[in-house]
Formats: sequence, C-alpha cells, structure tokens
Amino acid sequence: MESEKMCLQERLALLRMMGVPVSAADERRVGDSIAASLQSLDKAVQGTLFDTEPQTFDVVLRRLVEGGQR
Amino acid sequence: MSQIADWTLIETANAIAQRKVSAVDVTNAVLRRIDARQSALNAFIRVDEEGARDAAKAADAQQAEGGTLGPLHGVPLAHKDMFYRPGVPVTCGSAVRRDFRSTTLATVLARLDAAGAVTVGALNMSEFASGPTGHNVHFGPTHNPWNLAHITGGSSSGSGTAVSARMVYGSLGSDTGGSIRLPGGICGVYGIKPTQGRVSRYGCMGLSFSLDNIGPLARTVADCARLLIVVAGPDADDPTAAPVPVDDYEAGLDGGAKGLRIAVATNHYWDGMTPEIGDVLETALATFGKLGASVKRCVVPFHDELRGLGNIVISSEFCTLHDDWLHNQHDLYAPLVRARMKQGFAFTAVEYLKAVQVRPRITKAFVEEVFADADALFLPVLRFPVPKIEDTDVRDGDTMNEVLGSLNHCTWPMNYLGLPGLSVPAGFSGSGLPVGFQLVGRPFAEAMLLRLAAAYERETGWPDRMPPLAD
Repeated sequence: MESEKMCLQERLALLRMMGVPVSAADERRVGDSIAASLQSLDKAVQGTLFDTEPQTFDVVLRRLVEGGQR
Repeated sequence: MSQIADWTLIETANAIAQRKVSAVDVTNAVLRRIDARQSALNAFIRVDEEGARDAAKAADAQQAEGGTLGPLHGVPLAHKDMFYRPGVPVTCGSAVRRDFRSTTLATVLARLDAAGAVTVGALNMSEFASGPTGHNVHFGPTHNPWNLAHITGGSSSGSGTAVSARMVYGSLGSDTGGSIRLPGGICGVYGIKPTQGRVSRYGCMGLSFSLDNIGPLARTVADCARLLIVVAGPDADDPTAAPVPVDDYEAGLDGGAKGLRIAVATNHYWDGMTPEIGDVLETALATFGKLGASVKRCVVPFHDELRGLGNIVISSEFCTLHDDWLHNQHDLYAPLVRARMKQGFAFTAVEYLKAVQVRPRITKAFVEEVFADADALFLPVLRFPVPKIEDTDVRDGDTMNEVLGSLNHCTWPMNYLGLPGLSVPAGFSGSGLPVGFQLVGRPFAEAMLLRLAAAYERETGWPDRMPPLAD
C-alpha cells in the first residue's frame, strides 16, 4: 500500500517536472484515475506479454467477422 | 403536407430527385428552421447561409443539366465542428482553435460532397470532443429539444439536438467513448459508432488515434444507413481505414428481427438502473420478442477492465496531441478539459503500451464469448433519466470523474473493443425525455444492427414523434 502511495507521489512529481500545473483537486483526480486504471490493467494483463502474437488490432477485427475474414 | 424541414433525409432526397421540390427550396426551409430554433438550442457554432444557398443553386443547376445524381443530392446537412475543409474555420469547440483554417479536405466531407450534400454550417460540440454532457464554456451549452433545461449529451452535442429538432436531415459526429451514441440516445435519434476503421478519419480532429470513430446521427434508421454507406469504406489517405467492402446497409433494412438472437447484459450495464428507465428497456426487449427475435440474458466479461484500459489509452493519446498547447496556451482550455487531459501524463509508456497490446486479445475473447450464440448485444444508453444542464455542470470540481463516468458508463467499453454500436430511440421517460438503447455487434456487423433497429422502428414509430418546439 505504501509503495503504491509513493508511486502516485512520484507520478505527480513527474507531472510537475514536465511543467504541468497540478492543483490539489488534480492530485485527487489523477490519484483516483491512476489507481482504478492500473487495477484494470493488472487484471487484464496477468503474467507475461512475451508470447503475445504480433497481430495488429485491425487484423483481429477482420478475423472476428462472422463467417470468416473479410 | 408537412413542412419540408420535417421530412426525413430519404424523403427529401427522393423529393428532390423526383423534382417535387428544388434543392434551393429545401435549403431555404432548413435555414428558416435553423433561424427559428438556434437561439433556444444553441446547436450551431456557425451557419453558412450564403454558402448553403450557393451549393443548393449549383445542385439544382446540375440536375437541370441532366446526368446522374448522388444519393444525397441537394440534401442539407451540418456536422460537428471538427471536419476540415480548406479555408473554412474549424474550431473543434475550442478557444485554442477558434481561428484555425485547414488546408485539407476531410475524406468524409469529400464523400458527402460527391454524393451531392449541401453543408449549411458547423455544429456545437464539447471542447476537443472531451465531455459527455454537451457543456461548452466557449460557445455555451447545447439544449435538449425535448426539454431545454436538460442536456443533449456529448460530445457531438450539436449533432444530436440539430437532428432531433429537425434543423438538418443528418449529421456526422465522432465517438471515442460514447460521443455519437450518447447525444443520439439522449436526443431521441439514431447514432452509429461504426467498427474501428470502418470510416476514414483523414482530415478529422483527433482525440485518441486508437479509439476515435466517425459516424452519422439521423432521425430514422434508413437515413442513418444512407449516410453510413456514403462515408464508409477504405481510404488511401487513411491507412487505418479498413480495406473491407461496404455493405448495402439500406438493402437489408426490411429483413426483420425474426430468428435473430439478442443477448442482454445483466451485469455492470444494469448496475444502478432506475426502475423508470428499466421499464422502458424491458418494453423494448418485449417488442423484439414480439417481432420474432430471441432474447437471452447473459453476463458480459471484462466490464471491470474495460473502463480502466480505455482510460489509459484515451488519456495518454489525448495529452500526447495537446502537450504543446497545454503548456503554452493552458488558460485557453476549459478547466474540465485540462483536468481530464492531465491524467494522461501520469501513465508510463509501458502502461500505455500494455493497454494497447492486450486490446486484440481482450476483444477476441469478448467477441467469442458474447457473440457465440448472439447476433447483437443489447445495452442501455443511460441508466437514469436525462439529467439537467445545471446538475451536470461539474467543471473541474470534485464530482467530475463520478458524474462524467456515470454518463458514459454504458458506452465507454465498446470503443476499446472497437465494436460497432448503434443507439436507438426506445421511448420516453415519465418526464417526456428520450430513452435509448444500444445494439452492439461483431466487427463490421453494422448491417445487422441497422436491420434490427429498422424492425423495432417500424413497430414503434418513435421517430415520428416531434419535439415540443414551435417555429
């Protein structure tokens, strides 16, 4: 938990270093957004992506057409 | 005989083609309608009366000379103010680009021009297409024609209200998290977010190059189908436009719903559903049953993941496009837009690329599970009645994420998945505001979605109902 908190603070520090103004409200919103999104990412990506097929998204969409590729 | 501006797009195109009315007469009728309703609705950022009349005269002259007419010959349209045409101002709903004039012509505009359409102006939108309500601090909020105190939905806010109020026969919008389907459902018209890559984005403002889609809003299914046929298809100027043939969407509209299989998501999309909206949606499902479709309830996968994955992709790409301006013209952005954009700077490159890399895998698993024995997935547009403008004016306050997230709760996931989604008018809430549902399909299944919607439209006749506005 503590490391996640540090991680958020590091991200906010990075924003400020990039010259992006960060208000207290921004801190809350960015914190909420980061936490929720990274939780989603962790759930979606379990294990390694090393063996991910080198398909691009448009190719996958065409293969998912009913009745085969178009 | 009804007023010309009240005709559907197809009726108008047919009347012009059959010389029952001229393009100039139609354009003048539309301009009168715009003049009568603009002050109440704030649908337009710019009305080009002179350009529209010139184009209409040219259309009539071309018809008089004989020859083949396009499928939209002489039909007045207006689009979200984010499609580029050489020399014409395009604000993107922003102060940053208030005086911008492009040198390129958007492919979708070129195709509408070739089909004979007349452009009458540019429509209001959320600043840089960021925001699902229809608020805009630079050009003012758009108003819902069914009740002016209520939102239109966004970000294609002007498109939703202009089509619903019969100020134009159809409109192009863009959809990155619901920005076509929300104003469609909230204003009581059809709006289709096509499959990722179905419509070229060349010459269109970008928000998120992975998740942006261009598509039409229109009053009837057939109108929507005709507009989609015209703008869809491969484009040499846009390598992300899919090399997939375009179906004849109009030809399949009479196919009916009999034998088609509809899956209804019972989880996530129904969480927090108000009884008032739930009742309207259940009535719609019963109508599909009556039409011969089978309806089954199912649990839809990945709902926890899709919001976060989409957020990582959209916000990272959004701030990438705006990095320079956000630093150098910071104060020209609305607080809400700035606040949403800043989230993107906080993700790392690895996190962004992971979200992109798992997209094919997640989409494949979703399609194989949901559409194994279903032709369409039925989802709400909103789970609650259309809110008021004042109640959703969150700016960059503490409730911003919560309010905006509740509005696009049901539309947002389909952009990450790249699937086509059509918002369909389902009926009205007790207070007389529209209720909509979405039909989502496999990749490139737009024809199936339009066919189902057409069957429902014939049974219910919702598009014939007029918003309570007097000229």
